[in-house]
Amino acid sequence: MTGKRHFIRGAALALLAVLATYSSVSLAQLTSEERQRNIDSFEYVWKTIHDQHFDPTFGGLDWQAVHDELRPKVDTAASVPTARAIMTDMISRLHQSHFAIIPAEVYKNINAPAKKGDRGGSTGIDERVIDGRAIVTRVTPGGPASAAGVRAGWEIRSIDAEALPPLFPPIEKEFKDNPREDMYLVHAVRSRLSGAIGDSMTVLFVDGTNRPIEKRLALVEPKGEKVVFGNFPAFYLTFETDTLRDGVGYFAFNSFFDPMTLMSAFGNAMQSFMNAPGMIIDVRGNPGGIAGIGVGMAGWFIEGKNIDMGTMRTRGNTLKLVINPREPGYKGPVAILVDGMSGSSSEIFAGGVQGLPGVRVFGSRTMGATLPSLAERLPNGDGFQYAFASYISRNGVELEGKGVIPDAAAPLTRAALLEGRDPAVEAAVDWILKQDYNGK
Amino acid sequence: MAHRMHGTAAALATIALAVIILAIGVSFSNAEKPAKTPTADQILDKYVAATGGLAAYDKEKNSVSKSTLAIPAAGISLDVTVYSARPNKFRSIAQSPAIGVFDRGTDGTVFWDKSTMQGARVLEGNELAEAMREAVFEGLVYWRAQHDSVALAGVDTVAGSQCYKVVMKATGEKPRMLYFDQKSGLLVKTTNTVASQMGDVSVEAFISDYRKVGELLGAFKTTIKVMGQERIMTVTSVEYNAAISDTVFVVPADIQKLINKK
Repeated sequence: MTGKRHFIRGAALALLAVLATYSSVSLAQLTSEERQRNIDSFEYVWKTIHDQHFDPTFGGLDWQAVHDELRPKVDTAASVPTARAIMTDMISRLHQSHFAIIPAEVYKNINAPAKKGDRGGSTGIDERVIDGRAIVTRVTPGGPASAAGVRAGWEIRSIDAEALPPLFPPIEKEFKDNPREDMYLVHAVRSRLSGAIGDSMTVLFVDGTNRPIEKRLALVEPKGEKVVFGNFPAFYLTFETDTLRDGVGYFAFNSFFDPMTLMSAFGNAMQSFMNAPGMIIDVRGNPGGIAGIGVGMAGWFIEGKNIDMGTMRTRGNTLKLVINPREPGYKGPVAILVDGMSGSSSEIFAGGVQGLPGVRVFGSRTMGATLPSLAERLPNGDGFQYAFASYISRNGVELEGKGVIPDAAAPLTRAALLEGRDPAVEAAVDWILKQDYNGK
Repeated sequence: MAHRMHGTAAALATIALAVIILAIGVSFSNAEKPAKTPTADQILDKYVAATGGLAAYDKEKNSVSKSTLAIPAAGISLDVTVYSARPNKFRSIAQSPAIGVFDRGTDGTVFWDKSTMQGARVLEGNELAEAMREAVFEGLVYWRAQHDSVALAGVDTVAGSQCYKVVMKATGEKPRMLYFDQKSGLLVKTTNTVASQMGDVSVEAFISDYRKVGELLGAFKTTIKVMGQERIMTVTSVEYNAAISDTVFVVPADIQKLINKK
């Protein structure tokens, strides 16, 4: 078995959330064995990057000097979290996505059904920071927020008495013009809006009439199918199919994991919409997963031989992400929806088909976190995610740090959300209907 | 992989061989006359003899092997079943709940590749030539029919053992380097550039754990290094002259659709 075409992408935002929720762990004194395992982990991280980073110059960083500076610190680290922080410091010097140290606690009972006390509890709210305010963009049907009557467009003013608006200006200042600004802003909210399953939190909202409304929301297991992929933290896969105005097809999904389930659902959706005037594929809020899934999805609506979605460059190889057209495929116009929370494989998917005939990208700029990565376990039990390749879109753009710029800007607004509208969906439907595709 | 992985445990023989080698090393450490260097043909023929001999291979009409393919860096593994039959029928099905099914095969004329994630396609060009050569039943044993040229390219050390390097070239393919243990004659390493849909990929494979199945000796472990990552194939069972259903090598319906469309 050689030349495998599956490769793996991490989910930068999800990992950030994981790191936040596991930040408070024991500072008990280390045994000599534990100390050695931390040292071994440090060396493994350093050497892996040294040997496998796609850029042997490390972007001009003196990688040996980084080692020599930090190794004495890990030698004297008095706890696992301290050693983890040193390793995190080391990989952060690269200033690239898809490098992370994943706390060992994440893997505890990862395959077991979720239970009370487990991390990752959700209120069923999806949010974005729009114009300096945390806004509810979607409420999961049947979730705690939905049951409490929370509506899209409401502002989240505070969580457990901590005001949110003051959190944003420093982030906006630090990440001005950086495509990851949205990610860090949302993370500031999401890390406070999650916790242990079974706990609850008091959230102060402001509704569409600027009326403050306080709700006590329970934290429950997220909706969707729990997916564990290798050494990555667990995800909850959700997807949604809908028929929009004038029969336009719609498919949204929140990660590129579990190909058995997701590709089957996507294939069924494409077949059911084979005569639709157009298709919308919504990857807003989708932090990524296995990039090969996106390449496979493109085969449903891209015709022609040897069309690729860009290239992946490792230290020794440059590989094209070639699309295999499905038979029969969908021949109508396809709109891809993205936003600042579309990361990694979502960006490869959108950036990979952008510019191809019949495809148009709507929404707002993506995260700019596009490095293919793997996750291994370290000797001390932590996980280690590292990028082994860069990605260049079919338009020749290295999307890391840049993101996908939509063909048509259609960002969410609070006013639209309060009116039950979605500007990106509306723009996409308008464009599709102008293409006058007759379903043949 | 062109070489099948089969065999029974020969641990005692290996230990005995190691002792003999050690003794020879002491006894002949001052010997000045170098051993006569064999030709590439002789090295390949020695490999065939070391793994059971041509007559034993000639008795086998097909094989079914089951393996696991672990990708430690990703924390996942796949179950792999490989069906092979004379002259050049081949089917491999690798599957994992995490990444779905990867199905490659040929009926001897068409070579297909399909997966849960990326759909189906029919191989062409250099990729097809390479895949068809790999599909030949025990192709390395019948190497003369598969290659335009073979040549000795020197010696090297693999896992502490002296090896002969043999470069093999087949029509439409880039040269492959095979490393044969000088003592045992067994294949222990390969390096080659694999033609893939994504482009050429450099692959290094370390072959070990030879065991006997019936009259034939085969490797039960192959560690593959590709793009800086390691993949470990461990064979769990091999059966020769198995009852393989005729349908195994039939071109799947979705592949036939692609062919018909051309």
